[in-house]
Amino acid sequence: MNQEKKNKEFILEYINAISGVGKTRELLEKYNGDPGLVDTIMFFDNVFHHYEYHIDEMLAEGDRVIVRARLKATHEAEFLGIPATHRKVNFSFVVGYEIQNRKIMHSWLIPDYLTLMEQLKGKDISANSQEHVNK
Amino acid sequence: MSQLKKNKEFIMEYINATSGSLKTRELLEKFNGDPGLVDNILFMDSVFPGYLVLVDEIMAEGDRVMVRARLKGRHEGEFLGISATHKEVEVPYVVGYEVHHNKITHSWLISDLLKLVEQLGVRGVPSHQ
Repeated sequence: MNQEKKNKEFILEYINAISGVGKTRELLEKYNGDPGLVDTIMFFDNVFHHYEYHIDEMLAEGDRVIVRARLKATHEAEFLGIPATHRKVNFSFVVGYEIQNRKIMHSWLIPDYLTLMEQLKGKDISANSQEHVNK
Repeated sequence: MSQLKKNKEFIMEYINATSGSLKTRELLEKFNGDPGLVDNILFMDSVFPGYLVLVDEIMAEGDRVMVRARLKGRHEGEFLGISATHKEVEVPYVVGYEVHHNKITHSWLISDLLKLVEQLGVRGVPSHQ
């Protein structure tokens, strides 16, 4: 099996392990050796309890994997000054991973904050197309 | 040359042709067959005239190419209700292209608006309603 395929399978295993459950530092650190990303995930999992991680697209090249996905959850704690609204959210993000020996070593993450903020203000989430997110 | 390499070179040619100068519909449509993305670029170029594209990462697989980059420009027009601040900004974004016969046919784009509004000196992410 080539390296790209192995890395994609590793990332799928990681996503399946953390999607829809409470994300503990212990669980995350089995896969994730980027402390900044672990902190970000812990923060988001506190705001969006047990959020689900839905994959829309995945590309791999060399030791890198990029995933375009959506975070699905309910807004349960303060985020960017907005107290818990208990609204359902479904917003896109893109994350890039650098992988060495079945461990994430570096990463970057860009969430679609505009869609998220609109949803926290009550915009219908069914309007969020998963295929065309031109902003 | 492999298809992946060709598609990457096509996207680099497109970025080099459009970065750092005013973007016209005619120029964009030579490369870009996604009307939504063309409109979006023309809008962003009216807010950040002649913005530069600084590429940080490019990846290809099949007929798809993803680019992580930064938009570098000066804020000269209203954006999300924020009037021109004339500030220099650098906004990270990721764009995905589907490429057929040296033409972009579909795309998506996600930008780090939180970083942008911080640079414009606004707190929180405004929304355009």
